[in-house]
Amino acid sequence: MSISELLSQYGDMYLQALFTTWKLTFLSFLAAFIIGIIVTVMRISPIRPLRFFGELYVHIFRNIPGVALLILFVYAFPYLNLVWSYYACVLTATSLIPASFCSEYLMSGINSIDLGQIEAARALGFSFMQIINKVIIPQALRFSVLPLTNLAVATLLTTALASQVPLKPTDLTGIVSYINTHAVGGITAFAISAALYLITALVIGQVGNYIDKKVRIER
Amino acid sequence: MNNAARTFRDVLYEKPGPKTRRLIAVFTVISVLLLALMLFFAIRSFYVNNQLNPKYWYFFTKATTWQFIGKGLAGTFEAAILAGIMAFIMGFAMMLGRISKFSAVSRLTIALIEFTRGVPTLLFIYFFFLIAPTMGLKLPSLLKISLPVAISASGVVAEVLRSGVNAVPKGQREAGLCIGMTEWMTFIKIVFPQGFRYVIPALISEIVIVVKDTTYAYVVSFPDLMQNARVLISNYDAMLSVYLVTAVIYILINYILNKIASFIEKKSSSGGFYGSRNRIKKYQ
Amino acid sequence: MAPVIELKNINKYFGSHHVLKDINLSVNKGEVVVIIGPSGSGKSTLCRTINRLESIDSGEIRIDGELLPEEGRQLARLRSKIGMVFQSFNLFAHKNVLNNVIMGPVNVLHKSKPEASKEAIELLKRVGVDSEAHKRPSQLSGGQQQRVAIARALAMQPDAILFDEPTSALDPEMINEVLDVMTKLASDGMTMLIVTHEMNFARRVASKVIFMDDGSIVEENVPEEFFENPKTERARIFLNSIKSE
Repeated sequence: MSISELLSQYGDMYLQALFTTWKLTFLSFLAAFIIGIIVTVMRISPIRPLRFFGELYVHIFRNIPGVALLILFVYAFPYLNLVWSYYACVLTATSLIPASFCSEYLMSGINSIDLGQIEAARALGFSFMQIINKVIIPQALRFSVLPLTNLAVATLLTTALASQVPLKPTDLTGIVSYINTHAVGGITAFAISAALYLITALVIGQVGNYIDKKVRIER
Repeated sequence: MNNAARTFRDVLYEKPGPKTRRLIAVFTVISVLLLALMLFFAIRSFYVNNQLNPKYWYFFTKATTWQFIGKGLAGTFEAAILAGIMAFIMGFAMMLGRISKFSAVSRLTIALIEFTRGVPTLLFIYFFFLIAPTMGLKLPSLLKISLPVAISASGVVAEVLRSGVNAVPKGQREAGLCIGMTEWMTFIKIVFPQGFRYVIPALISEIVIVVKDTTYAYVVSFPDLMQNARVLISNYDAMLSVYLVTAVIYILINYILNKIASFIEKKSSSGGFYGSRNRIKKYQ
Repeated sequence: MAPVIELKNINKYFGSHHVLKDINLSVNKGEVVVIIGPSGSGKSTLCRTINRLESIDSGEIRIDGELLPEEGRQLARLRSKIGMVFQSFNLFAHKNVLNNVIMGPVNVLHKSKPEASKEAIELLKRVGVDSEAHKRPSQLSGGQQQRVAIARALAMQPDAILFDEPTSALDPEMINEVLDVMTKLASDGMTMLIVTHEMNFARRVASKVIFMDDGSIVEENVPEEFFENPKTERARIFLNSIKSE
């Protein structure tokens, strides 16, 4: 099937699939970022049980395969009387897993901060919260731009999990399997999806590089 | 100064005074209670939904169950090891292309690396599962899962290897050339082995990703751990317990791999021979 | 009038290691107290206990007669009255030179940005780095960074400044530019407590020399006497050992 034939027949579906992937990526990344921050705060807090919980979270979600988590939500959770929509299952899985990586990146961003600066701020009479707000967060975020860019791309790739449940409209990976089971889309269907993923990843990468150049701390 | 081994937390928190100590104690108690409450509700929800019923769990005491899980694990390892080897070979080749003096070759390789890193593994799997057969390429199911997983990992492997090679001091290459070795011999005998050692932790972390990606084996009906879990489920009609145990097994395997990676990394950053200052950031 | 800094019976342990042994010390207004001693003698630790960057296990610290509390706002307020210059400069990496200097006045003294900036420019002139005001710390030489750090401390209009080995991390050719600034400060009447290995400098600017060894203050003396004719055997051995270098 040629590209024009494919697009005339499935063009709308592709558009919807692209938006589904984008929307999932955006929402997951946002959720992952927020959860990642919360988990990171727990991990550096002086409260031992919170630290334990934060570490446990990271160990579980950075090591669990995406499908294994998705399957738990979709097929196993209903046995606990927890029935979520397919969309909710996918979104939860594609948020919880990147959140663990987000926390790892933030931790390494924090660890890149020169510790003497905390003491310098303290010697100036900064309060604990001022040290956090004026010294640590601005620097940790700057150090984390590129890792977070990678995380956004990773989240994009993770959203392909959506193809494993009957989602409507389906995502960019699901549509390839859909077209190939309904017609002989062949390599064209694959190529279009791959190209759309690639373009999205490249755009994310460019935006990340741009932001990083703006805020980078030279050493 | 005594800040040789100070961590971020040591510096961020001053030695607490009486007020802070009280605050920490109060929050510790509150958070323990909250965590206990969470655990209680989780267990309660298992209980009220009859998921603690022994019929869902007793078969985990049977040797045959674990034999079956072990067989599935063997499949997972088979697919992961094969994918790992292929990813390394492809990654090595791409690394060579990437550092090639011919700009056409290096640019083409960059495009290839971006391609493997910007497309989801699942899409590659669908390619070999759905599309390749229509083009006359019929692979055994082991390759149908291993090959796409390997392709997906190869770009990262290439970049990781390249950063290792780049980290080798220039003098090493020059010394090799000076004793009369060819450019290629110098690379293979002197530069690459050192660069490789730098990036062992990053490569192990990449194996974690490969192991995770092999869980898609069910798509191509290759009998891995996940696939065998499904059989257990239909045998014992125990969805929740089996999937939970399966997930824990995966988590443990990857946890151990990550521990090994960070152990090697720690050993190296404390001055050992396997120096790898900058662990390469990778996509998950 | 109460001394600007007063330490009474300070003891500190790192684990079982007794790093500060019953330290008594006071620094009066306008005094320049120089602490010297072999490395590991506890002089840096002592310097850092004064604004409680290091906690103490017993004893009391008074700033302008006020007891330094263990935590809270009072501690922060008293800290802001004592400037500190570190061995490793510790400039804020994400701020340019000017913004480094105004961080304290704006956030702690709640001055307006324009006002703080005006004062900061004056201070940068005073330490000779006003031409670098809009550069990032990483673009400066070590000597320049340390002078910015001094300006940052001065911007708080402190009652005293602590110098914790301010020239130890500098290349030899930059040491003097920092010492010159410090000498000028001393002659302007700034109260200073300086931990250093620069003996000539100590001799020139100190109003009092404190010799520490193994966690205790071994000798307290005026500079001429200390360097010419130390009272204690340990100080004599130490001075001989650095002379022979």
